[in-house]
Amino acid sequence: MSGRGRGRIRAPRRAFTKDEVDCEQIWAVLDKAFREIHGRNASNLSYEELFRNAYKLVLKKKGDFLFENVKKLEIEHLDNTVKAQIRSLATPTLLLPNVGADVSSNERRQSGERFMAQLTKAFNDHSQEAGMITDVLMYMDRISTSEGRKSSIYAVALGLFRERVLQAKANDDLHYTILELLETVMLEMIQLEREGEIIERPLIRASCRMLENLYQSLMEEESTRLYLVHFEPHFLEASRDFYRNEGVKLVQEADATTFCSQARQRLKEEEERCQQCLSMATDQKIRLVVEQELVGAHIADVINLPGTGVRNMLDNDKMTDLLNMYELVKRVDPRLKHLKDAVHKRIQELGTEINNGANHIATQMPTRQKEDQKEGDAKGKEKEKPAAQKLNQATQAAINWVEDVLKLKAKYDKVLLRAFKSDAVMEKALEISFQDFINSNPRSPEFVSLFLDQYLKSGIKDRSEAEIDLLLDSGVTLVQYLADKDVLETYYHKHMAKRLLMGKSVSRDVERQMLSKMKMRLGNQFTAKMEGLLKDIELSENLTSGYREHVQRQDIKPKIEFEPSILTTTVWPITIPEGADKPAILPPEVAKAQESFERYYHSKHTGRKLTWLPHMGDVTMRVTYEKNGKPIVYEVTGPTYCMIVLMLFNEHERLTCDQIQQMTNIPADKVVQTLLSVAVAPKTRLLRKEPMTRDVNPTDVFSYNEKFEHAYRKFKVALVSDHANKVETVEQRKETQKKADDMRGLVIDAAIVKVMKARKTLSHQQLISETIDILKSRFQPDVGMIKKKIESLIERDYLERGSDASNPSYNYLA
Amino acid sequence: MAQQRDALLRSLLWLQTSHEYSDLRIFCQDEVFHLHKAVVCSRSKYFAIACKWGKDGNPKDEVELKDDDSKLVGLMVDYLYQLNYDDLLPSEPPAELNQETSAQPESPVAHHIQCHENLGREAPIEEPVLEPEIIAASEVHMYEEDEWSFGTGKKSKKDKKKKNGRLSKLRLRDHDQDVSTARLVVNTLMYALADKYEIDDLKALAKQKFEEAVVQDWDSQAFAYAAELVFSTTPSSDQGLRTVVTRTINAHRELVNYEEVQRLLDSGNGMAWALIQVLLGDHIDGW
Repeated sequence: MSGRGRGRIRAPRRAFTKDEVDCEQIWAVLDKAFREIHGRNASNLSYEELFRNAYKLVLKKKGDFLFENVKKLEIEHLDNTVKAQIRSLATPTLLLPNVGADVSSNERRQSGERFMAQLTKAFNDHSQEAGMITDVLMYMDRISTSEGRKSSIYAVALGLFRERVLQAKANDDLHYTILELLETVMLEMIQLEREGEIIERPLIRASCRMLENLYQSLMEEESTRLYLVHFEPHFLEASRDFYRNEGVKLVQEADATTFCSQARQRLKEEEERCQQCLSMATDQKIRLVVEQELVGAHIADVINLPGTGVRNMLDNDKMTDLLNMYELVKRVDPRLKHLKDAVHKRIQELGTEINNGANHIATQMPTRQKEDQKEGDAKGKEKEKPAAQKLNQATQAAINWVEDVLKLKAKYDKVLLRAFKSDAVMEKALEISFQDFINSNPRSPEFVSLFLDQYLKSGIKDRSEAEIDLLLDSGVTLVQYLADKDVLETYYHKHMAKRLLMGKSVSRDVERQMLSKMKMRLGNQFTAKMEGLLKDIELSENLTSGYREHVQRQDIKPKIEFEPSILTTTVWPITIPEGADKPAILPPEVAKAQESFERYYHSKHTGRKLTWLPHMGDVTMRVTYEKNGKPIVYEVTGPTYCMIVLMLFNEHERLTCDQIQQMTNIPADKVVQTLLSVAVAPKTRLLRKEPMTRDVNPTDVFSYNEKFEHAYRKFKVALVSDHANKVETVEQRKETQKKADDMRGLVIDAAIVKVMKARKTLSHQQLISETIDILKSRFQPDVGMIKKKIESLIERDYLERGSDASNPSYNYLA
Repeated sequence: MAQQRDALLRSLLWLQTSHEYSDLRIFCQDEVFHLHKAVVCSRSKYFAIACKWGKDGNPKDEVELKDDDSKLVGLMVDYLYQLNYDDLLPSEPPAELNQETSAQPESPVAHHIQCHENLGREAPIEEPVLEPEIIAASEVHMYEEDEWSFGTGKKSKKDKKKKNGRLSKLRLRDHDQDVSTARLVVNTLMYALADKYEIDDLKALAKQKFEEAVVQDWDSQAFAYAAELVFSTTPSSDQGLRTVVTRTINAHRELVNYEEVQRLLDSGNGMAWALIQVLLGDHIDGW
């Protein structure tokens, strides 16, 4: 302890016990002091003394007396001084209803400002004074509030301000309280601000603070703040009217862009007003009002405004406008119905245009070709090239279709990212829109496969690897949109087979990458067949290289290089033509090589059968012609049949078409095709044909064309129907479709059996829906077809009908 | 943490004794305390507000405590800086005390009686003469055995006793002790002071110390004096020490036989009623 001298402690000196305290006397001291506080003349008051006096009264159990006296004093002060002052400012200009924007409105505005200023100042003063009085009465406050009997004197003083001032009549003649007058003035100011005028914001703010700090009840519950009870509902109502009118006006007068930016501006303004002037408690509510009255009521009309609505914004890449639009719609409808519909509609329109463009060219092709053929007799030798071009054009159209779709997709991806903030709802809507129009084009699977083929083929150098990779990626995205994935599978399988067999594929690696891309998005099942192709071709390569080594070991220099592709029949989409067991008769040298290989093959694999498909093969050979007495050797690449035919002319001068067919055993149509290539095609007339017509007849005679010339030493003889992948003709397409349908039949069978095996017994409806569930990842199954398949399974005793005919069902028969 | 807390307390003690950085002076009787607003105002709402009330709205750095005892205020300051105060005060010299208590009206008990008079007692109580006296063991024994009940029989017995003349008096615990320096009294007054200046934690400490002291001194004159103070220095809603006093009397019912306690029960300061409430609470089932 400190060294301070310690003595005994005397009991409190009881001033009030000694000099017979008079409560009235003590009150008189406090009363005087409080009046000085109200008179803003408190600087000479001693807090300690006032506190002591109040403390004494409370200890003497005079707390209630003190409380009531203070209350009386406050009432008197508010009535006589504060209220009178405020009422003097409620001038007639202010009290009469606003009568339009004339000169008096400026006057009205000024007196409104004065009124607000005085009222808020009076409130601030009063709360400060009440605070000081509460300081003095600190002990009383604590005791009386702890006993739970009374509200704090501060709350009472503020409550009295509400009761005696705000809820007093503004004027003796009118039924108008000061509070109502204040609200009218505030709402008028806010109206002015909304109309673009600069107003005294601090006054609005101070008024709101005042109303927020006053309560309707002494208990001071949150919900009874005057701001919430009185001002806010009126404010919201006035705002509702304002925005209802503005909405109607804007839709009539403005375009969609203006509407959206104005609406967003309004929302921003209101939020800012709440932050800076009113109360954050109102933020949500006023936003709702603007959203309902201004946005919700009109947004559907605005979205579809002709000329300026969403369609226009989309077409002209108005990202900011779209973003505005999106933000607005999002507020009033989280499901974005109208916006979704508008975007969907536009994509449908653009998609239909793309579809029509591509299909127009593609379907036009066969008829145009016929026309060409009619004209061809007249035009003679110029006929072949345009026809080939037409074919290419059709393929190009298919690729263009894909590119157009991708372009559209890229555009809308950008819109989604930049304007729709990658909103999941919009993303889904876009996906559906694209799916819809892509699948409304029945040829889309073929087109997509052709597109992929285009970029998987070697020899296209005008794009960088990265670009191609990107294109392939987006191609796969399109694959996902396809409903009939099985049809795509068929096409891709076919196209890929050709690429691999013709050595057109960029590389195995790229093919493999492509397959893994598809596998990732479509599943293993989808790519199984294609992976089979790759595996098979590798097996074949191993085999041929083994053969090559075998040949070298024999130490015989072979005259020809023989490179067979050994393919497994089931893996490849190649139909073995009829009569393949009686193959074309090869020239002896070639036949020898083939036999040698067959021997080698059978030594490796016994019990397997090789079927030769010479129509699939290619040959490169040297042919010799003379020009000006000098021999010229050309290196000609062409189909195997071409070689077989040409070799005949080493030993024969002239042969008819029929003779050629008999000597070679090549199918008649192929003979004609081959002869067309080597005797009719303008640049590759290795043989002379008599008579010189465009058609090949069985009796036409062919001979060595000694006048043959070609610009290049190496050239290619193309079959009229080329090896390259291109758009199918109508007939081919029907064929493919039929194949796909047959395949579907099997898949549907399998799906039905799978479901029934698991469920044993199932109602008709359930069976249909579960079957569709299994199938829809591959194609859009046709219910009629499923029904047919069920019938056939019943016939084949896989299923039987349930006994209850009114509720059709099936049982599985093991 | 203990080490760190000690360091803080040492530095506070240093602030208190050195007056370094002092920005608040408290005047009390003849003493001036050089204190720190940061320490005082943050602990007591009263001082916080008082320091706000300077001239022309400026802050103030002097506070005058007119009605309080400077020794007691010193203990309060000790508490604010050291988290504790010493309720064992050195007494006045015994000789002086004896003189005072026997002869002078300024004695603490005299004060206490005066206080009653001024608070509205009808008849002044005669000045008690305190005679150091050992309570007869037999008497104590008697009240220990008897079960006290709120019955007329016991009351008449009590009345009879009163009529018979002098009641037995509570002992002065130590011959040389001054009642006003008793721990019970110091803590009672500290409790009231803490209540006045809104230092709730000090109130709790004072109550705790009071409870500790009452275990030893319940049968002393200081107890009667302190009990009287308890009922006059805080508002009746403050149950803190009142409960301790009534419980103590309930636990040692023989106390009502003593003159000082009876005088208190008669005084109309609310103690009698508080005691009845305790008793009723105990026997509530019997009613």
